[in-house]
Amino acid sequence: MLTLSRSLHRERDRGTWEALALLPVDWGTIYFAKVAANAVILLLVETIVLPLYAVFFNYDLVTPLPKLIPVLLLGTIGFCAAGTLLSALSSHARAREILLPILLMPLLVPLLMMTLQATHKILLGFPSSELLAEHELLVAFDAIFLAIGWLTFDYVLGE
Amino acid sequence: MTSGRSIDRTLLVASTLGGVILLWLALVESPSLAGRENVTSPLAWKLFFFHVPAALASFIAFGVALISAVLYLRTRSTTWDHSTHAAAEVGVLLSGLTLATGLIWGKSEWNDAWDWTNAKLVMTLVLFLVFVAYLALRQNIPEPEKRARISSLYAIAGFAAVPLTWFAHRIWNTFPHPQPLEPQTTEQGITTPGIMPIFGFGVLVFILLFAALYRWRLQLLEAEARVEALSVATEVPA
Repeated sequence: MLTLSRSLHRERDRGTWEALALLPVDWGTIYFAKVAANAVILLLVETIVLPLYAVFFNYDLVTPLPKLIPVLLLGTIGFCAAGTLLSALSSHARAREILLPILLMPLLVPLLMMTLQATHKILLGFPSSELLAEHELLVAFDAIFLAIGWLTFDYVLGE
Repeated sequence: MTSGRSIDRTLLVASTLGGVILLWLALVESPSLAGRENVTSPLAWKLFFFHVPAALASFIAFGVALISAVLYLRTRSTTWDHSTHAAAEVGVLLSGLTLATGLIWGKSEWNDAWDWTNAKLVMTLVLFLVFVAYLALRQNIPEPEKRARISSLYAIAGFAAVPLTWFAHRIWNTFPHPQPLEPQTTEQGITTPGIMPIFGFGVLVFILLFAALYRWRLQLLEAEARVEALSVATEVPA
């Protein structure tokens, strides 16, 4: 969440933002690019944290890894889709670093619930047929927030 | 403007009187559920007459807030922004009332104030938090135009999370997890003769209350904006 707020707030402070706004591309595209950049950073962190987690908690993460990766990917994309949008929104406000988690948490409730339940089921060794509902909802969450971000990013930054 | 004033006054008087009558109806006149199966706390059950109408009215309020937010972005008319603000404030009040009465009832009926596995509870909490965050966001953007635009966007994005939370909970409930707390009492109670009219009256009172507070707050916000515009206009030349 800290990287999220840094990624946009720093650009506002340094004036990078104005340069980006001058680019001859749709602002929706800039939004997708920002989501992608945030997702890459978050995935990097995950590749470091996940092995550490396996070591410290003595879990076998190698066998369930093929099932775990889609959930992690979907969760990361959803987190970044909602997070980037709200970080752009909160960049207009005072006390934005404090405000962002307050704004973001309620929206992330469904995403967190589904990723938690999916990882829980995977670690307990459920067959993939029982994970379908969670995947569907994660895809829906990602699609809805990417769509909202793409469609409303003009409004967010237009000034 | 004078006809608007009289509508406001009528709404305020009607909802206040209605509230008093509702108190009397719910506490004195409503049939007792004591000794019923599945009802451990018949006294706390009387909260039903306030809890459910407040919840319904808060959904109406948040619906008004969402529609106003969309209309603001389409028309850029500040009246719609004030409408979102007013509806969100009244909605937070009603939603808070719903949560508070729900907690009290849950404590005496389930012996547990909160149940995370219940979709209705979590959905109401998410809705409440979204609009509390909405109000916090408004507080922190000083420029009126920017405040209106940004907070409208947040209201829309926040509202999208609510149906998702609902579906998430439907999936969550299929998870092999014990479900000891099934709230069947309300369904049972509602079929008891004499309860439905009082409940209907309660819904009416709370919708009137929402309308009265909403209109009142809306006028106040408009007046505040006018004062602000006037003071800016007089300050600039000096």
